[in-house]
Amino acid sequence: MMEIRRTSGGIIRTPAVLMGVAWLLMAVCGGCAHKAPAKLTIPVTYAEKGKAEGHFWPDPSLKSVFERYWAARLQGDSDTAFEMEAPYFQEMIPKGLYKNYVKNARNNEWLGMELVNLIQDPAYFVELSMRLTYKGRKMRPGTVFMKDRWVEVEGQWYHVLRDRLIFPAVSETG
Amino acid sequence: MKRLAVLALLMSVVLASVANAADAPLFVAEGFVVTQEDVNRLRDCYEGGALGMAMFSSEAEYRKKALDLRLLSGEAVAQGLDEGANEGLDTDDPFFQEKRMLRLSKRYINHLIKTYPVSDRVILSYYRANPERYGASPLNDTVREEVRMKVAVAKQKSIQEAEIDRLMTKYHVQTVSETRK
Repeated sequence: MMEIRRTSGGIIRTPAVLMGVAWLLMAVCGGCAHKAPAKLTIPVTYAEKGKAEGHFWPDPSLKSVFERYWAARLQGDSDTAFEMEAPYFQEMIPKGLYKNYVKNARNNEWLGMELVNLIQDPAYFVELSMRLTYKGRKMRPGTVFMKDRWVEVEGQWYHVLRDRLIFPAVSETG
Repeated sequence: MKRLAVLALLMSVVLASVANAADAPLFVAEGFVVTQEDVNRLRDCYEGGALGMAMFSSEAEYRKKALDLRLLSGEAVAQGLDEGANEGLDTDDPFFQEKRMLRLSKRYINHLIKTYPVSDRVILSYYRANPERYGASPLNDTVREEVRMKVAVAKQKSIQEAEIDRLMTKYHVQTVSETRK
């Protein structure tokens, strides 16, 4: 199960809270139909002191794909983001469902992304932790902590989207 | 006396129209016709609990289900999947045909799922994206088949709908009536 933690609280696993966070992520992703820029336009920082971005990423192509993917997600560009999801996801999940997942409300604003940690194990699978800061309409800025996963297939990195509530068929673990 | 004659005449007209409505073909295809009576029987079957819980409410849904059952069960027979299809069914059961069609349809859908092709790239990506589950297992034939089934089952609805579309073309299904909705 995706582990989500607010900076001010403990680990939260209840479906209602997960649903809320899923909505929040959908909301902040916006719903614009235009193509996203190739790079993130929000500030990206690295949590570990002394660990510059050059040392954070095990593969420069992963960094590039990561930035393109999240730029698309933040802009609500579901077409671009969908093509960057893992091949099995593209096969199993109807694009329309994904579009709704990505597009939803667009009244929130991403303020920044902090990359906390990255684990590569095995070589073709990467799990990184990150904090996303947002500001919703009439809301104070908040932070969500999330894990983001990537898989390498035939020399190409793809995003691994797990969400047991929205995409249960592709979200089992263990 | 005159009143009785008029009443009898009216009743015969009504009965005749009901009979005609029941016999009215809704879908005409190569080799079979789906009538309003077929749809009525299917509805009775579901609403009486003979086929499990009723999943439909509108006339249109029952019509579609009646056509789907006919297409899928017919294809099951055409592909030789009907061996032992009557086992455990009572041939005197008024809903024998509906139960048999449902059974054959399920067999055919299962057949579609079991034979649905999934690319190596899709299988590899699923395997690699779930190291918690497969990390210790090599990507052997057993794992490949497990993943292929997962993908096919997840796509069951779209596989089924695509097959129904194919069968409608194959059997030249034409919709005759759109009156009762």
